[in-house]
Amino acid sequence: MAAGEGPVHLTAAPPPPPPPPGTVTSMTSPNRVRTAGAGAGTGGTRTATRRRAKSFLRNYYGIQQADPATQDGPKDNSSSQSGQVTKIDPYDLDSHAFEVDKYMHKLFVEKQLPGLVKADNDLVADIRQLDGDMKTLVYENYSKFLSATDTINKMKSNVDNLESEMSRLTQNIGQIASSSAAIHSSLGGKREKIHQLNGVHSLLTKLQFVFELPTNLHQCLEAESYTQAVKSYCRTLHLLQHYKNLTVFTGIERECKAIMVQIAQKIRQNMCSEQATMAEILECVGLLLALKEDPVALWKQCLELCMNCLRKLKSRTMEDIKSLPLYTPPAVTPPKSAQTSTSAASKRTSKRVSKTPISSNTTSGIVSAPKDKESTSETNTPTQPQDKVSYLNAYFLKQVEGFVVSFRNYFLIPAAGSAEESTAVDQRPPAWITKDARVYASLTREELAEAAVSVKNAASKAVSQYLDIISSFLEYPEDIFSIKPEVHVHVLQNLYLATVSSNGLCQLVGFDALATGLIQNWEGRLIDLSLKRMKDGLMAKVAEQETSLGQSKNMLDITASTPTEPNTATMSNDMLKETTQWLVDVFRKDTIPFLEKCLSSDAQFLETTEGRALFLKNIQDGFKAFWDLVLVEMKERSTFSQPVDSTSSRTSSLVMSQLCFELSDSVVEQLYKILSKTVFRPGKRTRSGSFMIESYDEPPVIPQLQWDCKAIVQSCQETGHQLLDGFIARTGNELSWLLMNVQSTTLDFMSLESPPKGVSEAWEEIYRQLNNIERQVITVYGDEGDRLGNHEISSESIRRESVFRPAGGSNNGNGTRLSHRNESLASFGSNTMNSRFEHQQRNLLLSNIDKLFSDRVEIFIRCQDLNRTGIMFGVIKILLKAWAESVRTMTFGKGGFQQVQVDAEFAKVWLWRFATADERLMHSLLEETQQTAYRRCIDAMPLDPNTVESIINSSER
Amino acid sequence: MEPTEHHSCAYGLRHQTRCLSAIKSTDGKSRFIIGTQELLKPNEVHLLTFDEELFEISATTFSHPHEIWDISSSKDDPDLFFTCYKQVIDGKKVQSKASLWRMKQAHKNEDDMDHDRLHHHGPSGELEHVLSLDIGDGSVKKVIWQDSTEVISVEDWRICIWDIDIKQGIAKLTGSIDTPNKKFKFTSAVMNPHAQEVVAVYGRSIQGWNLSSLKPTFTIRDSQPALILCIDYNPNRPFQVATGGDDCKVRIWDVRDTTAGPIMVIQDHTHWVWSVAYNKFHDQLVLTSSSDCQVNLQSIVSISTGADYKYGDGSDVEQEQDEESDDLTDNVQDVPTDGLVQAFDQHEDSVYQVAWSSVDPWLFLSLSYDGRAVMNQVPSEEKFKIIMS
Repeated sequence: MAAGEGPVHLTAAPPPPPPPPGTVTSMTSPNRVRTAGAGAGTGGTRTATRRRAKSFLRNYYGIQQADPATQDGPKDNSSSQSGQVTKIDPYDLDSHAFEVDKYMHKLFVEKQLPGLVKADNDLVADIRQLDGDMKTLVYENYSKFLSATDTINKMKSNVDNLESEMSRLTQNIGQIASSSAAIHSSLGGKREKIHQLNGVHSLLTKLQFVFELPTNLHQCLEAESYTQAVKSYCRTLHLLQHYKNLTVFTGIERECKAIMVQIAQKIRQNMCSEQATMAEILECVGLLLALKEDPVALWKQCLELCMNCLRKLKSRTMEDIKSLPLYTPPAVTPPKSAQTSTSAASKRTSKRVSKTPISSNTTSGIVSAPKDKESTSETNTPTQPQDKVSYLNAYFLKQVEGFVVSFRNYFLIPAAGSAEESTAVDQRPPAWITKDARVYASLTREELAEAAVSVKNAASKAVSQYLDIISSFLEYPEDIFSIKPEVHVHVLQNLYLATVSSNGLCQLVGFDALATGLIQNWEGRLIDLSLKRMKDGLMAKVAEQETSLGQSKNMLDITASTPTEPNTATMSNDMLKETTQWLVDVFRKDTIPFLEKCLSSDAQFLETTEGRALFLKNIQDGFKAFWDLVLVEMKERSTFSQPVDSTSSRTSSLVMSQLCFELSDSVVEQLYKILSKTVFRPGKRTRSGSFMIESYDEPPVIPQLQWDCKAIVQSCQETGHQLLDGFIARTGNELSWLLMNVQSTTLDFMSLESPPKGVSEAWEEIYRQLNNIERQVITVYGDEGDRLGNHEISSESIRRESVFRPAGGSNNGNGTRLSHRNESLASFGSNTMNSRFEHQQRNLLLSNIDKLFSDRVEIFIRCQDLNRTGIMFGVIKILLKAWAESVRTMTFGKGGFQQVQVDAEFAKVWLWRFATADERLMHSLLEETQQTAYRRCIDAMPLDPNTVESIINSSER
Repeated sequence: MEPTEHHSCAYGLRHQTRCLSAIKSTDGKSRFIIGTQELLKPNEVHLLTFDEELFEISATTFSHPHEIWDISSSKDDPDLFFTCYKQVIDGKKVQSKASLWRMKQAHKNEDDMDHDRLHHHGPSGELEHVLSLDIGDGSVKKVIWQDSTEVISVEDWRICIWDIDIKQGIAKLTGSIDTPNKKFKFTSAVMNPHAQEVVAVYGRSIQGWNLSSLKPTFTIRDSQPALILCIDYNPNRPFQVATGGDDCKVRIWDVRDTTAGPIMVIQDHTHWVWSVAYNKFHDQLVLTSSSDCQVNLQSIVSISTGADYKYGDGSDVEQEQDEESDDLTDNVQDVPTDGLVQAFDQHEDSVYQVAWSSVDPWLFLSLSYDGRAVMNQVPSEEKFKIIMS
């Protein structure tokens, strides 16, 4: 705005500078002039003035300040800016707010005349300068304008020229197009001809081939290169088919067919010849298939031939491998190093190595049919298998595999769908067949299914034969630990590798699953056998212990009157300890290392996590089954031959029950700890040998086994209880039968003489047996209390027993017994015996009420106190209750009742020490028996206590 | 004589007792007879009649000359029963005999009723001796009715078959079976309700004989460790017998397969099992009594005819019973299952015999040696389960 005004007023600037103040108030141009003058006057340089002027012009032409900072300096710019925006300085010449009057007034006020003159001069000079500048600018711009006008004129003339040129060009191009169309049309006919001629040429080439075919085929027939013949024939077959209406071709076709029939016959001969190898047969089948033989008949024949061949192969292989060792240990001697590498190859990473011969066998071997046998043997020579299994794999299994794969490709694959085609093609051994003729049998679905089933059967037969052979290699000797695990592992390793490399068999008959089954079976048997050995050992130990217990019992019988040898109890305890220790030792030293050895060998089938997990699972299951077997056998033993030889089986169940408790107490857990420490060791498996290192901090049973462990501990405990209860029940029953039998058959209680001479024979016998049983129980279970005191107690009991032998009752050391006896007799003392019993009878109701409040007596119950007291009391309870029951079913005479009285008193005195657990019960049972007997006696005459005592004492004890 | 919360009703005889028998009912009331066993005192036969409405037992007593070891009432005539009794001859010898008696009830004297009740003696009647079996060695322990004209007596060493003519009072021996094992006496026997067969137990063995040919039909020998004390034949299911023995166990056998062992073993007693009785109406209910003073009511539904109804054939459905029934019925509670239904412990002495009522399928009487007879009922929950299933 200000800049716009600038040039306009510049023309008016020349009028004399100081206008009258009042008139120029609205005029800005003089201000400007004055400003410039003031700028110069205030010491501004000329450059500064020019620059300012430029900036005005720049503004006028709309050119934004390109570079104000560099050109003007920030100061200048900012000052003008700030002058405009912030404060309005009326004395600034360049400011919009410049006021001429004030400026003039200021000048007039501030300056003297010379100053004013000088200011005027400056202003004038400035104005001139500005004027000059403007003129220059105008001139420059004008010259530019002129040149532009010139240029425009020139352009105008050029364009006129261009238009005419363009029109000419269009015309030319039109001409070219028309002429090319003419050429094209003129050449069209000839091209067609050339095409036809081309076709004829190729046809002629083909025809030539066809015409030459018979001769070629003849040559092939003579040269026995049937493959070539079939190949050629197949190529031309469709041609012949196509032109068969032409006589020439029919002739050729006939000729060819005749030759091909010959060839086919030859092939058939080859195929059926005795010497034909598997590969030859398969190749022939392929050729015949290509000749469009009837596929159904063909596959049947193929199958049959191959099976024959396999049979022969098998027998030959079997003969061959007879001489071979089952296992050649990794070489120790240098010359064997080559072989080691092969066997090691088949052992460790030989997946690749062992696969190579197979593939070479199936592909190259079959294609290069004539020299197949040689080539296979050649290919196998460098890796000549040194042991039976790898030989078998190379010579038998590979053939089976090859057969299966070929058969599948020939007959089965196409139906499987074209999606598989691409992969299937790779597998087809004779490549040219698939490439050229797409040889496969066009079978109907049913035929296909039938073929599939029969080949499956055939293959599984072969495979099962193979597996049978393999498993026949795995021998399980009586002594399982004499097995060399590396041999077995090697055999199975080969098997495993065979499964890895035999894809076809795996797909067709689940060969891998079968092989895994075999391996599993092997593992299972290994484990079972090793554990069975342990079990047998354990049982033998138990039996041994039994017999020794029986012997000691016999010795006790003989030396019953003399103090027994003091170490019987300890001996038996030691034996038990020894048995369990033996078990642990065997487990730790034999079984576990044996399994470890199997596990730690380099077997590949155990290397995989799942193989290993399976093996461990087998071990776990086997171990669990082992315990079950042990327990079941114990139970069986306890019931076996029970009626025949009751005593021994009785002892055996006693011994076994204690063994069970012992097992459940610690041994089972101990064994599981060993198991988790060794075979189940978590983390990376270390090499064999490390298991021998004993660490002292026992690791707990690993969680995987914990459940098993607990279950087994429980079942051991349960079995122990069962055996013990069985022992108690049987012992009690046997004693009871003794009592009842004797009473009911040999003695007539009606006519027994009175008073009885002594204790009845039955009770004497029972007492004798009870003593024996107690000794057995003590030897097995120990006396109550600590084991050290054992021997003393038992000897004391014997001493106590001998107390009665001297007739006098005043021996020292038998205070307990005597006082007890007196007490029992005292109840008789107050009244006469008769009145006592009468009284009791009268108070039957009262006694019944007593019973009401007393605890129910359970006779056959689980024995909870696993010691002498508990067990013996269990027996006594059964015996006395049985007596009480049997007395009820009898009728007594006078003597009979008195006999019962004497027997009961005898029992009170002598059975006391067996019944320390609950004396009251024993007394009440005996009392009840006497009561019953009294009631069942026709003329009861109870003996008085003294008589009873003297009778007991007088009997030969 | 008062009902308890278990719906049981007790009757005291004040004598030692071993035997009872259920009587065929003519008027729908459950009746039992009990024989007392007192060597030195006069013995009695008590006829107990259970009045369901009043829930009490009324008794009629008859005096019996000797101590009674076994009693068995006729299946046809409610007044006829056999007793096996022992008598002492000359103070020297005990001889047991078996006689058939007819009860002759005196007319009830209303005036005497109260007086009698006070003394626990109901109205009394007389026994009329009909006939005696002419037992040779005098060791008869049990008489079993085959029908109204044929009975079987069990002795220690032989079993005799008799034709009896009640009207003329004549018994004729028609055949006998000797014990196959001279070491063991016969302990008990039972008639096969499905055939002409008697099944006896001796020692550890069970053996059956055809009644007409007297030839053994089957033998289960020594297949258990215990002496067998009692036996009962499943009334609804042929070939199934239950035995109890001195090892506290009750075993159920299928006599067709003599080597297979028991098809079920029940152990809920803690002493010898003296008596076992199938319920005639629901053979899944079995009563056992023992010298541990308990009477147990067992359910063996899985091998009973109850299982047959449900599954259509005779095949044994044992363990799956529970689960399968769950599928069949909505309410699990309503399905009877195997196992102890209830243990009755009202006795204070050995319970030697237990018998189901002949008319009420849920009622039974047990008798202990101290002369206490207790009438009990199947718990109603079990009853409903059986009815609903």
